[in-house]
Amino acid sequence: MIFNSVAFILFFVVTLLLYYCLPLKYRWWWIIATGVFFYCYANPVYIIVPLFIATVTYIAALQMQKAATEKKATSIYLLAIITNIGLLVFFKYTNFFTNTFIDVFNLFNSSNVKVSNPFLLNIAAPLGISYITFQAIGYLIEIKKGNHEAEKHLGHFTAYLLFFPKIIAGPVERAHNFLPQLKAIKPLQYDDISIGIKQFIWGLFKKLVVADRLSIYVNAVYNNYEHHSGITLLVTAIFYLFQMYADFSGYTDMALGLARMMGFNLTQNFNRPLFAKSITEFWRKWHISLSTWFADYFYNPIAIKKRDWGKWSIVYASFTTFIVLGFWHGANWTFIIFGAMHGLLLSIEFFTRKSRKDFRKKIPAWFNSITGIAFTCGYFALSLIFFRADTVTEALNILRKIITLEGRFFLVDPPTLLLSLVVIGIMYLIEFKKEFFNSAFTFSENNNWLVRSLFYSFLLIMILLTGVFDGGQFIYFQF
Amino acid sequence: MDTDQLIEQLIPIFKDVLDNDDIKLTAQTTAEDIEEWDSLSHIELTVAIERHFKIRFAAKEIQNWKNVGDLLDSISLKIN
Amino acid sequence: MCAFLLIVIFFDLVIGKVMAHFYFKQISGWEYFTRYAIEETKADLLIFGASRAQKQHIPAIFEDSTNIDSYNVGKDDVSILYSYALLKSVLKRYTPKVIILDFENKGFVQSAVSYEVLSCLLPFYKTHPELKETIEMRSPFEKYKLLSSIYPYNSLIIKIIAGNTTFYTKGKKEDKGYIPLDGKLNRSPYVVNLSTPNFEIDSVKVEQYQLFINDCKKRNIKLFIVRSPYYFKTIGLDSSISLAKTIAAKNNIDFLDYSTNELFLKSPQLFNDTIHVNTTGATIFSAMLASDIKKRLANK
Repeated sequence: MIFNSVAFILFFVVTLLLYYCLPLKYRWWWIIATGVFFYCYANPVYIIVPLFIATVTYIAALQMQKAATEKKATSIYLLAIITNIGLLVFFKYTNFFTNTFIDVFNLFNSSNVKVSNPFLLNIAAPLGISYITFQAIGYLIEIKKGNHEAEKHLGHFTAYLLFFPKIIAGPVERAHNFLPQLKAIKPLQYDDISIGIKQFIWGLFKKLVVADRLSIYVNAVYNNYEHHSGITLLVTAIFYLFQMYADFSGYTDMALGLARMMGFNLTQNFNRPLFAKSITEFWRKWHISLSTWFADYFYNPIAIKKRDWGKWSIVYASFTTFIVLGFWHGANWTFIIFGAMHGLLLSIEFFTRKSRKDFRKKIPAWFNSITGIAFTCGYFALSLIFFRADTVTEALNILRKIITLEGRFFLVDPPTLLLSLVVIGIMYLIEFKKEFFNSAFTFSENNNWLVRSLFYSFLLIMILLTGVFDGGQFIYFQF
Repeated sequence: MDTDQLIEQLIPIFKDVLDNDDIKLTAQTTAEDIEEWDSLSHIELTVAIERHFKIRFAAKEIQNWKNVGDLLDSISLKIN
Repeated sequence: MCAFLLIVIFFDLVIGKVMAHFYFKQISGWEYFTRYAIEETKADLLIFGASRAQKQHIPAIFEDSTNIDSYNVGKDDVSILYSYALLKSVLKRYTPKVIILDFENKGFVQSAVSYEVLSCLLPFYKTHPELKETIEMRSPFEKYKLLSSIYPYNSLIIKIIAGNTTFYTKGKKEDKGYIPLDGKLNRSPYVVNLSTPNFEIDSVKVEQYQLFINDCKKRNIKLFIVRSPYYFKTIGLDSSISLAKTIAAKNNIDFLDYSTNELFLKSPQLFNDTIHVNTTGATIFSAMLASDIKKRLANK
């Protein structure tokens, strides 16, 4: 069920009502029940996967803690980690690896007959498997490090992994952030509902009004890219940047809003990344839960281990981390290149830190901000060309057309184009104000309830007036 | 060596690695307090500190430091 | 919270009224033509269908040949679902003498677009009860969404603004619903296998097709179902067409198939693209069809 559907709204209203009717100590099993229902709505068979992961991880963590020797603890730890990674790789990446193997085989195959892949699996990945396994792995790492106590309540741990607001698109929630909240469940708080609904509406606005509107335009061009000019493709690439941001951060805001209505504070996942002045800053503001997961469990350990390489340890750590991060998004070379592009720029920014800092002293702050923001957004938009393309060849063709700027700009569909520009403008203005003029007169947080009401009414009216109601699939689903 | 002497030795290292002449350190200082101190420069700092004191930290220690105080404790343990 | 909801409802009503006002005041654009078809046309010969109806049948030529006032109510992307709904609203106002229904390949196939495109009827939900049933086919929750006054005008704001000016240049009023195309093909026709892949048939569409026929017969309207020219040669049979022909025959309705007409298959210069003729092609086709219809009308 996607959040922006009538079926989901009905599901959520029922879930919420019953949630607050239940006595506090039974709420965790309602969380599991609704999580199972939500999961099975998409594909009932696959529910065994998250249940299996929850059980195995729960048992492993307790056994690790109880283990008599360090060696035994490590064996249990590795077994559990491998189980999680194994499931993730099996469901998502098997075909990628076998296809690549067959491609290489065919490269060296001297006969004229190209072999087709006999190992091709025809299975879909279980819903949210990337998020579930990463949360489980993060939990295991923290237990291994001794930072936290293993969870003794299987029900609580399962509720943590199956909490439906974060199944489809995260955030990648840390167990030690969620479990204490679960154990300290409070009765209904008006603030939770009020804040939660507001965040949900803002997310719904970004998704229906901005993201889904832009996707109409972007899909029309990208699905037919051979026939479009370089200029049209350039405009589309920029539109896709805003679409991706509105879609993902919008869906996340909906998730956080829903969780908040149930009394849970999930981790902030976006911090207005389109105003980042460097790619280093960008990754602290975009998909924060994932980048901190990678920073803590991947980047840091690698950089520390290779620290004797000096500055090159940072380069090595950046590349490996981001290539894996890219690959996490999908089983395609395009995602690997996406990651590598970020590893590259992060390394370059690291090496040029001092010179850029010195340069910044010579120019006015506003100029620095504008150029930093423009460059960062532009670079991310560029990397998204690979992210969205089906193949590397397609991405390179699009890139070539953009660089040569051949052809004339094609409006595609003037009303959609115009509406897209307007809604990007509205979203950008609201965020711009929040980012740079937050202390001035606020709308959404104003003390006067009328001002606040007008702001959220405006969002709802915009949704009714310009939201895309037909279709509109969320991009991050397959993760 | 006591805490103050250690801090005395740390300050020039921080100033050099983070390229900031205005750094002041206390046991409570954290990465949040210093703009240039992030996960990337943290590794550089660690290496510089290890070289200066001719010690070697365990990966677990490095990841567990929450403030300069923790760092000082780790250093003390290694040099004494 | 209650006050908030009241504010939302208030703005919904006010802005909804404003949108409705400007929607119905449009003087150009696709939504204008839709409204004209539903509320104004009184032509005695109407041409129903999707883009192939709209771009291949010239009302002026039918008028010349048959002396019957003609109008083209074809619309891009629609299916028999829209056509039947439109017929209902036409018949509520008057009884045309002749109706031409342009039926396409895959005309009965399951398609989400056929339901999505019915959104063009939303502005008429409150004032045209005969359209209610078709509109509610869009989704089980449609009638709840329609509690909002703004919802019928969703995504139309730019188009409504443009429609209130003479911004739209395609579709001149004097063409009476016909949209001319001026491209030209320059190659030999492809060969298409119509029986693969095997698409699923939407039984609702089949039912609406039968109802369309029934309503025409009830009012003594001379109905002609037409398969207009395509620029490709075919292997196999299109299941929708076969079914449509069978039902037409059973009801004694003439099904005129021009898709195998040799003249068109030999003349790429008459086509704008594989599935639409250009103005020259439309002129020739309309003349052919008009003369055929004239003969059949005389015989009846």
